[in-house]
Formats: sequence, C-alpha cells, structure tokens
Amino acid sequence: MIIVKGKLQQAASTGHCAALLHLTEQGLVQLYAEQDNSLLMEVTEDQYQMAEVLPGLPAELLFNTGAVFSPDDSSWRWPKGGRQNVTLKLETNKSLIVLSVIAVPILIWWLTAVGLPKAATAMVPFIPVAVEESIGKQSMQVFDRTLLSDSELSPQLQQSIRSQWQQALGQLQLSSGYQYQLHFRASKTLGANAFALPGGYLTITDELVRRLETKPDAILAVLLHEVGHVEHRHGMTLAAQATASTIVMSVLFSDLEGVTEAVLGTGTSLVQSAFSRDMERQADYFSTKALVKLNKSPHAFVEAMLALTKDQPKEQLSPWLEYLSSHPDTKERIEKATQQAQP
Amino acid sequence: MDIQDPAAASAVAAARRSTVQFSGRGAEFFGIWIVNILLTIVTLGIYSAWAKVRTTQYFYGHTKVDGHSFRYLATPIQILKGRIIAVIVFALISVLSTFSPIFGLMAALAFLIALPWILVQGMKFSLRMTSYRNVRFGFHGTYGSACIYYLLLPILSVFTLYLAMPWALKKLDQFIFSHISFGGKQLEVSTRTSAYYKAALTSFAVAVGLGVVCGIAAAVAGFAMPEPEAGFSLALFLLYVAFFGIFTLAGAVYTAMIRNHLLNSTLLPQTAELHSNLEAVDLVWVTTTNMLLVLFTLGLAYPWTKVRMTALLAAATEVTVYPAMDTLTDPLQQNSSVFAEQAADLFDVDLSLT
Repeated sequence: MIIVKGKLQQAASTGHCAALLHLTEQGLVQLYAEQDNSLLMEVTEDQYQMAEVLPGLPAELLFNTGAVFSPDDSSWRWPKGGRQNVTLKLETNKSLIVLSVIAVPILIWWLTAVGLPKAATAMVPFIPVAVEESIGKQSMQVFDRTLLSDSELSPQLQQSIRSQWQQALGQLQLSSGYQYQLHFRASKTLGANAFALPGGYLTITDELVRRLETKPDAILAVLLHEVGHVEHRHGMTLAAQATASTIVMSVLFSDLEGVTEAVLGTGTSLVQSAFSRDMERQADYFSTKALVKLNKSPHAFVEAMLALTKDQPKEQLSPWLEYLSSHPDTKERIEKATQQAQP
Repeated sequence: MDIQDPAAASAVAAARRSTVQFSGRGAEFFGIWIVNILLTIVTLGIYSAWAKVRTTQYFYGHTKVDGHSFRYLATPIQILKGRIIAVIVFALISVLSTFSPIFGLMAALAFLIALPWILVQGMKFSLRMTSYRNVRFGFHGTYGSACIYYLLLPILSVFTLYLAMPWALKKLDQFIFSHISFGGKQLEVSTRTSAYYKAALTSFAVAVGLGVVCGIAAAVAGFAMPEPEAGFSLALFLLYVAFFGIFTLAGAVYTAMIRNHLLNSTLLPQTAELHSNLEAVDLVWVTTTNMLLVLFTLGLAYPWTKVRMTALLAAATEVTVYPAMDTLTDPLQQNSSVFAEQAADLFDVDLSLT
C-alpha cells in the first residue's frame, strides 16, 4: 500500500482539506482527513483516473465525482501511470529535445522551400482554364481602375507591335489554349514595365515601349517572357502557395505572438522570393527558347534587359541583398541569354 | 465595507493578501514547446490542438493565487474541432475570393458581422475551461453588447479624430471584465475614464518624444554616409526599425498603466480584490529584451521570453482573498441538466482566434 500526502479539492466548490491518500495494490483509494484521520471517501479503481502530468507539476488524481486530489510533492508520480506520462516523458527527454532543435528548423525550411511550392504546383493543374481567365479579367479591371491609364502611343505603333506579336504566337503554336490579349497602358507608378495576369492578360507600359521602340525584337522578347509566366501558370501557383502557407503557418504557430511571427514571416518571404526568382528564370528560358524557335536571336532578350536597366546604375546588388529580390540578378539573366544565343 | 458590522469586520481581519506566484521555468517550457512543434509538423498540424492544451495547462498549473493553482479543462478534441472549422472556412473564403473579388468583399463583411459573436464564444469557452479551486469561471456578455463595444464605439470614435478612443477602450474593458463570473458572482469594475485618457496621453507623449529623437538620429546617420543615396536608404531603414520600436515601447507604457488601473478597480464582491503595481519601466525593459532575444536566436528563445513575461506580470499582481472564497460553489456544475450538458458538448469548440 502506498500513502501519499496531499490536498483534496471538493467537487464544484472551493472547499478543500489536507488529506492522506491510501492506494492499495488492487487500485482501491481511501482518503483520510489529515486533521482528525476521519475517512473522507473510499473509491474503487473505476471511479477515478490519473490526470496527464506536466513538467514541474503534481500528478493529480481525478475522481468521477469531480473532486481532485493533488499530491504535495510535485515530483511524485503514480505507479501504473505509464500512459498518462507518455507526453511528459517526450517533453523532458533530452535527446528528443536536441533532435527537435535540429529537426524543426530543417523541417520548416523544407516545408516553405520545397513542400509547399511543390504542393501548390501540383494543385494548379486542377484549376480550370476558364476560372483562371475569370480571375485574370477581374484583376485586370482592378488594375485599370487603380494603377493604369489609357495608352498614349500612336495607333500605328500599337498595331505594328500587336501584329508582330500575333504572328509570333501563331508560329509558336502553343497547345495550352489561353486566349492571349495584349493591352497597352500608361502608368506613372509602374514605369517601364510589363506584366502578365492569369489567363493570358498581358500588359506593357508606354514607357517600356518607348525605350525599346527601335528594337521590335526586344519588345517581343519581353512579351514572350510574360507569355512564359502564363504558360507555366505562375500567377496561380503563387496564389495557391500563399494560401497554403498561410494555413500551414497559422496552424503550426497559432500560439506565437508579435516578434516571433515577424521572424518567421521574414524567413518565409525570403524563401518565397527564391521561389519567385526561379519562376523568373523559367520565364526567361521560355522567352529565349521561343526566340530561337522563331528564327530570331536570343540577343533580343539581352537588349531588352539592358534597356530596362539603363537608368539604374545601382542594379548590381550586393550578394546578400540578392536574397531579398524577387528577380534574379540582371547580369546573370543577360549571361544566361547570351549563352543560349551561341549554340 | 461597514466596519460597524462585526461579521464584516472579522472578514476584513481574516482577509489574506498575497502576490501571485509563478513557478514555470524557461528550460522546462522549452522542452514542451520544441517537442510540441516537432510533433505538430510530423502529424501535419493535428497535434497543434494537444500542444495548445499542454502549453495552457503548464502556465495555468504553475500560476498560484493564495496557494492554489489554476487548471485548464479543455480537451484537445474540442480545440481540434474549432481549428478544423477555422481552417475550412479560411480556405473556402480565400479560394473563393481569388475567383471573385466581390465574394471576397462580401466575406469580409460577413466576417465583420460574425466577429463579435466569435469573440464572445471564444471568451465563454476559455473562461468555462478555466477553473480555480475546482470552480469554473464564466462569461456572460451578449452578442448585442459585443457589437456595440467591439465595433460600434471604436468605429464611431474614428469620427472624433480618435479623441473618444480612450473612452471607447474603457467601455470595452468594462464590458469584458464586468461580465466575467466566478462561483455565481460577477466581477465589479469601477474604472475611471480619466485614467484611460492619462494613459493614452502619456504613451502618445512617449511616442512623439522618441519619434523626434529617432528622426534626428536617423538624419544625422544618413548625412554621415559618403553617398547621399546610401545615406537616404540608411535613414529610411533606421526610421523603419525605430517605428517598430517606438510602437512597442509606447504600447508597453499604455499597457502597464491601464493594467494597473483596471485590476486595482476590479473586485469579486465580498470574495476577492485584485491589485496590480506593474512598473512601466519594467514592462518596457522585458518587452524590449524579449524582442531582441527572439530576433537574435531566430525564435529559439521564445519559451524563455514567455516565461519571463508571465513571471513579471505575476510578480506585479496581488490578490486579497476574503473567507467567503472558501465556501463558493460552482452554479454551472450544480444545476446543469443532461440536455444542457449535451448541447454544450456539441457546441463546445474553441472558436477563439488565438
């Protein structure tokens, strides 16, 4: 028989008293008041259970009536309390803690860098093209209302770019079935820029066209880069990944607050911008490959890159700043395109 | 209290005043935390419900008032149900709103309308799952009043150029605290609006003062750079960091002042009184060093910072307990019918957003 000193907390009331608990081998529990040794209660094994134990806290006995017995000695553990102590054993196991310290960062890195992007990429083919087109259409309307205004380019110039582009698209014979639309827009905020929305909505700004006006092939190279984003369904992949990572991170770290979240958020966005750099490389590759297919020199892509960075002498980023960038280093992009230009 | 009344006089004499004790240890909690994260990742998030219960039980169990600890009674399954619902709703909304921004707008509106209800349910659940000396806490706020205090007053005070905001926050605190019950009694709150304005003005003054100092420092550092462009970026970066820091520090000053006033003005009739003497300087110090610790250890110091903060708050809190505390009973557990219990079980999911 085991005798444990502790406190008996009555059911549904703040009443309590110091008590001695007698536990027999058969699991019979008898509780005696410490004050006068009177028998407070006597219960069989099926009328109580052991609570799960936490590090540094007493192992409580919960009676079916609602009363609770709490041993004075917080390191006291019940015999046969094995199942209740499993979690405790894991949480206080030094080797498991060390293993966790190593494994958790690796797993989180893997999840954000490999697992989630892969899952997002795998999910995207299940999204119907019609849905993608409707997203693109609605986003285009939002852009038109906020960032963009009507193009000031001459209709002739627009027409010549458009016809060259349409001819190129016809020659490429893309099998994906997107209905490509090319929009000319003016935008002070975006400067010299071009972007693609899901479903084949391509936009090129006046500023960019003016810079490349004398090099129609360079304009085509930029547009083909954007077509590459659409064909690889990058926009949808990013959206799917953002949703998935928000859910995963909030499930994993819902109990964290403020700063920790900021640290994790920064880490996640660093890894994600690596993902977005990979997408840019994919689109670059698509563009140069398409140029070769059209019997044009991939050097047109190099010219486009040079024209785009003309007014930005500080473009060369220091190596560590590269991790913050959503696009690969321009030098690297130009080098890759030049390599592909020399078969 | 009437001193002429002999019973009351003896009650005052028998009152016990003690500091809240917190016995949690950083190293111990680190083990719980890191192992729980590992198990959560390995089980694809399912274990997070168990992790929440373990963590809360650890902090409740190590917090003692008048020699008795708190207990957290929620089961992981209740938490899991709530989380599954939350994940499904969130996934549905975010997927549908990428397909249609108009749906997104409508979902945001619906969320705003549901928010007070979610908050009230969350508080009801958390408090019902909190017990002290085997008696559960309770929350009795209604959806209607939650709408007024969580949405209406804060939104209206925007139109007063935030001048009415401290008053709105006072009403909100009063709403929350005066609807908390323990052993069939409800907390009584006698906060003063002037104290909220004082706290708001003090923290505003701190923010403006620090803002001016940081602005000058950033400008000096910026001009000291050899290239004007680099100087500008440096100044911008410094200001960004300063903005975050100032926000936290001014927030800590406000939190400390309001916490002291709120707890010192709150009591459980004839049963207990709360006291708080949290020094703003201490809270600022612990908040700042905690932030730096988490940043420089890439999050690994989080368990220590949480234990440190809890210990600071406990040490700054005292509770006076009157003899009536020893004879309280739990009305919830005593007259709950079988049906009520089943119904409660069905809806007993943790909808709290944290």
